[in-house]
Amino acid sequence: MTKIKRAQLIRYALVALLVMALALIPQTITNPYLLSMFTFIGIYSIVAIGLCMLMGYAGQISLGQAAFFAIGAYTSGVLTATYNLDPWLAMIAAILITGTVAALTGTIILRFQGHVLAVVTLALTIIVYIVLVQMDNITGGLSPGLPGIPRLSIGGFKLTSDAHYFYFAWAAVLAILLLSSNIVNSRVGRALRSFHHFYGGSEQAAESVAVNPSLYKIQVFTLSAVYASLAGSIYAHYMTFLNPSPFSIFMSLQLLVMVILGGLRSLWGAVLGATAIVALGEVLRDLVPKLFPGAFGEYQIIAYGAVLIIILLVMPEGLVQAPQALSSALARLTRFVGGTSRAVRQGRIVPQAEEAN
Amino acid sequence: MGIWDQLLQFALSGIGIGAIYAIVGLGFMIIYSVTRVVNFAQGEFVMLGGMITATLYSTGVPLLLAMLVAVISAVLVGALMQRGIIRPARNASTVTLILLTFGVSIVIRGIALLVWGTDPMSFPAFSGQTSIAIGEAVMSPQNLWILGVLAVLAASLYMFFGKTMPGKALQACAINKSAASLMGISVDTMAVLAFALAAAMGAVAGIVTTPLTTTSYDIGIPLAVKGFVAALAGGLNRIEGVLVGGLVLGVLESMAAGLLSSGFKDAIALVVLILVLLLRPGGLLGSAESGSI
Amino acid sequence: MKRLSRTPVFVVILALVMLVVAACAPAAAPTATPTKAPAATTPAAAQGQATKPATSSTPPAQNLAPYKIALVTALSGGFTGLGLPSRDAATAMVNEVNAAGGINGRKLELVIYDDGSDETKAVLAIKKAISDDKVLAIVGPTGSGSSMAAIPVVEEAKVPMVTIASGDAIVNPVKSWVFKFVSGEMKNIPEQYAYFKSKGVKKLAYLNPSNAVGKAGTAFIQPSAAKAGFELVSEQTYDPTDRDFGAQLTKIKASGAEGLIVYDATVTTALVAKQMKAMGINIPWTGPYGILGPANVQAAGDAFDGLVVPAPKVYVAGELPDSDPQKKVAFQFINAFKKTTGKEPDPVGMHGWDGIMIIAEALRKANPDPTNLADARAKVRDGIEGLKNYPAVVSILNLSPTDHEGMPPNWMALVQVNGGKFSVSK
Repeated sequence: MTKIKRAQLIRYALVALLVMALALIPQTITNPYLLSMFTFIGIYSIVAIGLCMLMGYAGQISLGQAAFFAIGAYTSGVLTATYNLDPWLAMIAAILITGTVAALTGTIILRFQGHVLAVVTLALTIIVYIVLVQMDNITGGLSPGLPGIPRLSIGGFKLTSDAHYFYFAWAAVLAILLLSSNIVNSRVGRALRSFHHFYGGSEQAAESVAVNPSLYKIQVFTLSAVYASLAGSIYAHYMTFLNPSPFSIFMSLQLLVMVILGGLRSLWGAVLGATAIVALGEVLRDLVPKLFPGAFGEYQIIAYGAVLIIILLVMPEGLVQAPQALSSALARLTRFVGGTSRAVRQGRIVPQAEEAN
Repeated sequence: MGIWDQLLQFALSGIGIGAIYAIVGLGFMIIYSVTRVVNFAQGEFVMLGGMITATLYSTGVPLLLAMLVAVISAVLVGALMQRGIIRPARNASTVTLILLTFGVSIVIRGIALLVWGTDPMSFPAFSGQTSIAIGEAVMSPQNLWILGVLAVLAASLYMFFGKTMPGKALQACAINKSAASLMGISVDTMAVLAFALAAAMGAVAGIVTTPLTTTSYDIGIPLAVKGFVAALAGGLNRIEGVLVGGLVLGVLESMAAGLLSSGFKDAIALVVLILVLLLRPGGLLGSAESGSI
Repeated sequence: MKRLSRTPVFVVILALVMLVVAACAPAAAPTATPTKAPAATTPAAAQGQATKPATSSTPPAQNLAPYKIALVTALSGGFTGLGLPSRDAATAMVNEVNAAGGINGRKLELVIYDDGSDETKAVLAIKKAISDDKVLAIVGPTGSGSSMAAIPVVEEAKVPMVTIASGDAIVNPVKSWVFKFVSGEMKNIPEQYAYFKSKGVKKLAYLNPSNAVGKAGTAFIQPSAAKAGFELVSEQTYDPTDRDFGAQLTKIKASGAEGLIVYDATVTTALVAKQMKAMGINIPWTGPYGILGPANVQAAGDAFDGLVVPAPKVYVAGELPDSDPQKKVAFQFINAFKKTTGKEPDPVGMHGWDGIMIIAEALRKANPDPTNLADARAKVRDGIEGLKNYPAVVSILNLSPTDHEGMPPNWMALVQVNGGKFSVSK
């Protein structure tokens, strides 16, 4: 027990440190560009955490998160810009609507698995995108889009600057991380893991101990959609303009890349992945023209793909594996001999050194 | 045009589109059935096939030779991709492998942009532009070429898997990897063979469709998505499943555009396909258990 | 506890990353002093000056702070085909200005950003241009959606923006800091109606893509066709990735349409034209002038023969009488584009050229001090808004506080395609 308590204490201390770091960023960075970039990272992180729960803990793939992101954004946008509803009420309405849609579709499509589920959820993204584009009398479609979405305000204080949205988005990220890690550690989380092959479980095994896998799957699917909806609402009020194009299948793919690149074994992987992908894109956009004057997008695209491939080859379980990848490399160096097996180096068998302390 | 002529035209157009989906879908099927990897870069093989042929043709290389070079180049890219990227990661999870193929597709697209720029490319249709009329409906002769090549490819795949040693070995890997390995089949070599074969399929698809649709660096992903959806709906583990899936998707889209709404046609086709999968989880012709080709 | 015990490590990493970024940021982006960044730090400027070394005819250019302008355009993603000509044309314009000694003794410095054909990337690029590079004005972004998303940013930061997208919603209603010198659906389609009337067309159809340009066209045609005296007999749509239009064209053929609008500027129009030909649809048809892009014309081959498109005069610059004030600017654009790129220009690049030229004109008149950013930006804005009878490549412009587009009626030429060549339609 004491071991657990100590680990918990360290965890809380570090969360506090992160909160402090986050709180300090807008004090140190007054640059709207960087604040804006971190705000987008926060928004994507919220969606990615939901997807990470769905994939890492419930073992279900989804390429449909962009659809829920879109439904959240558009419900907020249309209700506030067109119908002048209070943004907070609209945000709650968005969560309810997205949650209902997810629960209903989840009931139908979660009987699929693996690549079939991937394609069916991808179809969901395509269908929602088409509806947003074609129902332009409601959504504004691709032209003119949905302008004039109001800013959020908290008790009369209007959130206008990039710093305000930075704080708001990251407060939401932390709240969701806290909520999610509690769920993951609760009875529900254990139940989820019991039928996820990743942890040596199976649905049959879960059923044998009276866990209803399909119900849990639908619940996690719905929760991930609710997260995406919240992120969509924040996005809508931050941008104050909506257009369907950010919610295409490429957003769904990008979210999947974030989660896998970050790693499924920890919810923090989602945040790490979102940070890495957005930062990588921005760094390349800045760096490539300096290295290749006169170039257009070609080198950026190649470098982006190459970095993605290299990270996945070196760390097949994502960036959360970095400490182990590093420590095992160090261990190999210090021990001189091949003390760690090939499997460990490849990340198939993960050293569980932390458990000892 | 009377309603029957219109319907005939919708059907012909749908078959034309569907044949393209099916021919792209075949490549997916080969890699998936042997390695369980959904190869996102499949569309890039289609792009490479068309682009390389068009480039060589424009510099005066005879069309047939240009095609041959294009197919061989794609095969090399496919084999290299398996050796250099998929094989080193073979112990990673399936979704990591899929993302690796996604990364490869991004890199190939970037290189294509570097080499060819954004402009579309094409070369002349195999037997002219004069369209063939059936009643008031018309069909391009190139569509017939696509259908013909599709039939030839499907038939040769049957022969290959059923009658030849490498084909049987591939099929053995598809059914049970460890058993195949115990029988002395090198699963590794077979995986390379599968990627090479799929790349060849993709390149051929690109070559026969380019005169009709033109090709450019960015056609890969949309084609791959449609081709994969089609293959899945038909049955990813059977050749005839992929054929039927492609044609059904094409005709659905065309009919939806003609009879219901051209704006919602893709959404309508997708909803129908999801319903199909709900009723028949293995696809229209597929069996629930995957494995055999 | 397996998984959880690992959490702290990542918290540490994340916190460290953020702290490092936070610590580095002020150094990376000095915000306290208005900077005179050396020209070589910006890639675009370095590139621009590689062809034109700093040995300019007027010596003061070295001592005074340059005028910085941002070009935010698509160098990757779906609009790359539109973004590249704008970049080349804008670079050509900046080279011309600097070769002639700059503006009021100051060099023009162009900072180029890729908007990735994506709204969030465009917004980030614009924030970077405003706060990091402290530009006086922005040309771009390329897409209508990106431009709409950028409006709140430039309005709040009070930076003039000359978009190179076509959507009319960008300047209708008028925004105080946003200008658009690209002819959109509200200008193009009435000209197309006029063309159809001259052909005696009564029954009209459209076949528009589900992209921003196509949807804007559809939104304009639906309520206006009947008022203009047409019966709208078939309304069809296609997805931008579609390669077959058999079903839609069948419906159009069966509807008895006598004229067709294809409101698309992408290369897909070449495929539509080919399939129309294959299906024996020989009615007059037209589209926005972007349809005349070299890639489209080449891909279409003889399928574009006979196509007539109302377009800016630069498309038929050679046929303009010498008395036309636009002839001079059109040839300046064409020649400078050739000089910079060694290629024949894609006329659509004129929007990048015009954007820089108009900002340069405003700078020349107001002669602001670029170190007083807010004042200089306001003066550029006022200068653009005050342009009267100004010959740009796209049109003669007459701006006012209520019109940030400034294009007079009847300024287009009716351009006919034959054998890949353009001529004035008779």
